[in-house]
Amino acid sequence: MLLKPQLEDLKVILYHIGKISILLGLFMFLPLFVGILYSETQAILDFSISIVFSFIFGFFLILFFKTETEIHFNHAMVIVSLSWILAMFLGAIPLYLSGHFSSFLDSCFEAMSGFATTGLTLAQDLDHLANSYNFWRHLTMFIGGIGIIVIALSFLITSSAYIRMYIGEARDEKILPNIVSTARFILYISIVYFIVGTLSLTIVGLIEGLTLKSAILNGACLFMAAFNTGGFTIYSQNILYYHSILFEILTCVFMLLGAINFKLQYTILVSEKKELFRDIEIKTLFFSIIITFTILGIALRLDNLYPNSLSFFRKGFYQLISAHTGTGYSNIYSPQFLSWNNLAIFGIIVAMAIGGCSCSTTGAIKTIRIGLLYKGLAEDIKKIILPESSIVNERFHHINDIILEDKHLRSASVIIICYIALYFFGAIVGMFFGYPFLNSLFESTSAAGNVGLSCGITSPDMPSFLKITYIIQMWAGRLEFISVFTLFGFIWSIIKGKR
Amino acid sequence: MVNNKGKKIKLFLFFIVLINYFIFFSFAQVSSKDLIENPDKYDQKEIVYKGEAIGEVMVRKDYSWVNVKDNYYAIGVWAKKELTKDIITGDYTKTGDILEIKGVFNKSCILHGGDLDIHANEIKILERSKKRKIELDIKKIKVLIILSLVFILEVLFLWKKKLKI
Repeated sequence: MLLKPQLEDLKVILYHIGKISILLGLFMFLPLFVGILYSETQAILDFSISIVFSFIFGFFLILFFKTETEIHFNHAMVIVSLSWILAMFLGAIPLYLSGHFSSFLDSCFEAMSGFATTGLTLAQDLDHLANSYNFWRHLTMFIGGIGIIVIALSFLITSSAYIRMYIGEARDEKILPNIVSTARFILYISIVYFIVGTLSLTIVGLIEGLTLKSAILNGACLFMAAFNTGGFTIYSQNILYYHSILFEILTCVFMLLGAINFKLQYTILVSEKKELFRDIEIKTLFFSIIITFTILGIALRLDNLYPNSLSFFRKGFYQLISAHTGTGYSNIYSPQFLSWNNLAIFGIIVAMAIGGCSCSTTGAIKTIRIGLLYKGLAEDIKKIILPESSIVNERFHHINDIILEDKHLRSASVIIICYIALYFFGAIVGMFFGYPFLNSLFESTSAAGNVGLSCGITSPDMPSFLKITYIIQMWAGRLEFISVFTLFGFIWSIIKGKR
Repeated sequence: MVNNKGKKIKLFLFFIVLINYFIFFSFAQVSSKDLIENPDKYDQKEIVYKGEAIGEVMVRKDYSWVNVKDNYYAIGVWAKKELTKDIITGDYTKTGDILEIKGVFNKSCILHGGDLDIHANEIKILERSKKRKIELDIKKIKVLIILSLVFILEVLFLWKKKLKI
């Protein structure tokens, strides 16, 4: 029997949402500081309004819903999914006030795209956007890439019950013995990478003719979007703005680092270097890149679109790595995708749909699930081929050697099916508004897989319903469904539950 | 006699202007939308492209990149350093110079790793950079004051209730 939630359930949820609101307000001090640095008075005012509003909202919830009740699993899931919606609304306030978005819906789209590390943008006149707003757009990717809850766990931890929320944010692996130290480790490693990444991109910026001040800002923003597999840039031309192979190589490295499992990176760094060649996720990622690049290569070669191998590699491989890691950086214009043939588009869609590794900043299905499905298929084929008396036990290596069990296959299959359904749902909505099937599927996969590549559908002029569809896709795709389904279940129990 | 000579000079100058005018307009003036959506039509052809210089001029040895945006997209323009040295680019505080570029369009440039770009032969500054009008919105200041008061009241209330976050 479905039970109606008690008042105490709502209090637990709203009290913790209040805390997240304050955390988001605190984060807005960073772009405020950038605004002060660049004397951007309007932006200072906009961020001040947003900060005070976040605090008022947060303290209001804390004041009226303060409770000592322990968080249960379903509370944790609802808190996670609502936190991301709250982040979208609060994050959208300064963007809307900037005047670079035609509606609040557009700024919500931008904020969700940032937090979900997607990278699709509806910003208008991006090339004249103040540095502080741009910094905020990129910071949302840094926060979302690490995880709002992971950051909350690092700063606001007061109860072991928070641990349940960690799972709700599409992270189910512990790097260190407990979740809090794992969350802190993820934050620390991201900050270390941030310093190294910003420094190296700043040096490249200086080599490529940027001024020091601009090189630092570009370096910081590019790193935040590359490592967190986001895809925003300061300029409307995206990576093409820089006309630089050095920027392309370096962002490729950071995109790949962001797409590799943090636990695996930790294992490689502290103990076992060989893990890089043994882990099922890395192997699957490697083979998937090879296969999709072959598809793309054949397709682009058929049309002879690029004059030499360097051009072919810079345009083809860069787009593919960007798609596969779920970043969305692009060194071609959106309409140029339309000059690619269907096979090339298919290759990019497959790469976007698969994504990177679990416990990383990337979205989409993730390579471990594809690897597990392949192992499951191999096991079934072996069972058919080998004599009936033989015992077939398929194993896979993911940090440790693990025997493949039905529960692994079940959870992988469920998530894969959910993602495929989400990709096609967006494609159907796109087709409903008159866009061709392949273009709709491309854009939908990009939104749901938190990629950010666009073939031109995403624009301020697109229908509002499609914008809302993509927002839902970005949100559900980033959280990997469980917490989203729990939220729907919770709402349903409020309506239909029995006392 | 002097008058006749003057007339001849004027006529000569008129023809020079006329010839230049025809040379100039023999190049097709196109938008970025045209170039990006129909790249084959303009590939390796001389074009005239007009737009605002944005970002910053990036010097690469004897040449430099300047990205020029019209109403649709920004396109990279590759030009000799001397041609770009006076250009002021647009950002949050100012609009960039409005430029008219005469050059060769490449749908995927061999020299620049397949970039869609324009190799400029001539760059003309049509309009100089202007300061953008950024005014403080009084309404926003009022909203901030009201919100701040609400926040202070809330904090006082929290403090009075001795509520721990």
